[in-house]
Amino acid sequence: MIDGLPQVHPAIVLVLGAIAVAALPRRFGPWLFVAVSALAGLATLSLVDGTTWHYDFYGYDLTPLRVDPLALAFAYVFSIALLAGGIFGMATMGTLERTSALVYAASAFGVVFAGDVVTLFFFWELKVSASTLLVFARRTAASSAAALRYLFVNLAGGIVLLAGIVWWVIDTGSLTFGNFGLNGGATVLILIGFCVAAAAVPLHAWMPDAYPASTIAGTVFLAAFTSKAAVYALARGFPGTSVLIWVGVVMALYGVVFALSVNDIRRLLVYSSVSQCGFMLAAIGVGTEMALNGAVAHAFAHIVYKGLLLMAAGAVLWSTGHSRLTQLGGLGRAMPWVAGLYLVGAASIASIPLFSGYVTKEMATLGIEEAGFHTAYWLLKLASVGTLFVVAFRLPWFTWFAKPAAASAGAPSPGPAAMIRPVTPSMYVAMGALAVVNIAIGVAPNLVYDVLPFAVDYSPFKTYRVVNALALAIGAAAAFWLVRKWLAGRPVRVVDTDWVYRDLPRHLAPAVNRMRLPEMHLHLPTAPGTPVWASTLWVSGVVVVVTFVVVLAIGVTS
Amino acid sequence: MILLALGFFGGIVLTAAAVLIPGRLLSVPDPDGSDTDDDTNGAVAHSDSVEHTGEHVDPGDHSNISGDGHD
Repeated sequence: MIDGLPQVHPAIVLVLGAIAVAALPRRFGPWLFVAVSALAGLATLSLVDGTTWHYDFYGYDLTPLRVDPLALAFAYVFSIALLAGGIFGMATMGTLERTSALVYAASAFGVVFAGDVVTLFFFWELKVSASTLLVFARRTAASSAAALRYLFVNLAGGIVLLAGIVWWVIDTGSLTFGNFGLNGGATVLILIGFCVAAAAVPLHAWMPDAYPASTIAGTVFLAAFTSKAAVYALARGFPGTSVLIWVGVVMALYGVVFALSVNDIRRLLVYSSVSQCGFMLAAIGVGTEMALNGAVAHAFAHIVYKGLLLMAAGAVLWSTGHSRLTQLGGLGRAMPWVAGLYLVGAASIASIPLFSGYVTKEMATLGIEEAGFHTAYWLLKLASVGTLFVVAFRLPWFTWFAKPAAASAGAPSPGPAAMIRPVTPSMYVAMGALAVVNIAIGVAPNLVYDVLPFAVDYSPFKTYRVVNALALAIGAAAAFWLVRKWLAGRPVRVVDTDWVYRDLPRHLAPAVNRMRLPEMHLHLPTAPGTPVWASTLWVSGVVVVVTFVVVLAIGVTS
Repeated sequence: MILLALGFFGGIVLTAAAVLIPGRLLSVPDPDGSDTDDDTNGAVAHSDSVEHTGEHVDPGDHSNISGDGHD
């Protein structure tokens, strides 16, 4: 916090900045984006704990700004992610991407500072719209289809959330966005709406589907805002809701198992995000001060190290044109700095002492154990082993250190000879900055502990804790060396729960087409490989309509 | 010692689960990478033009990686 500055909502700065980026000539875009991001960071620093803005809206008292430690913790790290992402994408982003990224960030700030459910829902849906444009911005057939799926799944989640909010307001007469608790149908709907955006299994498949389909900078923004805003909303609205403990444990294990199987390195990292969000949800479900601090701290660190990891993976895609393990390998000599910076992020997510994840994830899991949830604690430790396998061993080994996969299969090597362009200086600056932040948090954890919602009574550097973390890593490293050949990339698509809206329509299509509905011009594609636009629209539309009808029915009968 | 063992055996168990469940039961062949676009981008370096979604792409256009180029 900086005293003496006029208090400005960061979302206002970002929306004005987005308008400027859209209106001014494109050559101003890169620096304008960075300047607006820095101003938004300054606006965040200007906010004083306890500040609230009230606004009368047709007799309803809305609170578009409510500043407290929980909101500030997320706002600080959103500022870091936005600035770093803007620098990373200086040479690559277009005007559409920059504009939508700024509006997207504005909506994320809007969510965390929302003091009432109307403001929350407004920014929640703005977030969905702007982030969809980020997926579209890659302008390929695959990204457009993924963007549509992303849009409709999240809109369906938004409808459920809206229904829950309306029901809750009618029941309680309150617009305040606070601790709902799980007590009745309205709060169940709100919880489901939040869980869709938090990528809770089995509602998660949109995330590994859409994020890797975006541009290299777009994926960095997506990973920072959507699911973390949902984690914030759960920490605000449902602390101590015990069902979240087991939802989180399932996410943590599910994410790493799938990340061990997928071929695309950015999809691998996004599945690991599902796993890491699981740690946060489990800690929120416990709801003690220690666990909530751990959840918020881990969300903070996760945004920083996952940003670095996705930047490094994006740099590989930028430089080689490839992002699948089956087409990578042997890049260590060609991209040593990217490999080194990636490994800083990998050490962070793997909870290696002196890196950021160690001082935050251990806090979250310890909070769970201290609350007496020993089974959940050990299952999360198992998921930590998976994280080591996925991010610290599998991805770097088969990208940078192992013999190129194509060369070992007899095909021309895609290694250093396949570099099509160098990593830009702005990419190195962004990755370097995030690497420094990761190490700084790991060495001086009070940088994060001081912004947490509750006073911290936890010392991460006790000898037995350090030894335990290293023992887990050494055991996992030995196991990886033995089984690594089973973890090489394979040219397959792993089917997830998105099978329901990606593949099921093709199976249903023959029956629907036989129904002869010429007036509706409804003819679904049946052959594998045909564009999925029509079927995705069809199923998504059905999902939205059915959800709306069910919600309406619940509302009418209650 | 417990965590050393968990790291070792847990890693093997998770690998087995990954190889069997998503790796075998829940995977479909994807030799041309239809789920992602990256190999098309990679071809930019090695050919004068790229066939992608049926349209001729300028060899200098890398917008499908970065999003630049066509605002």
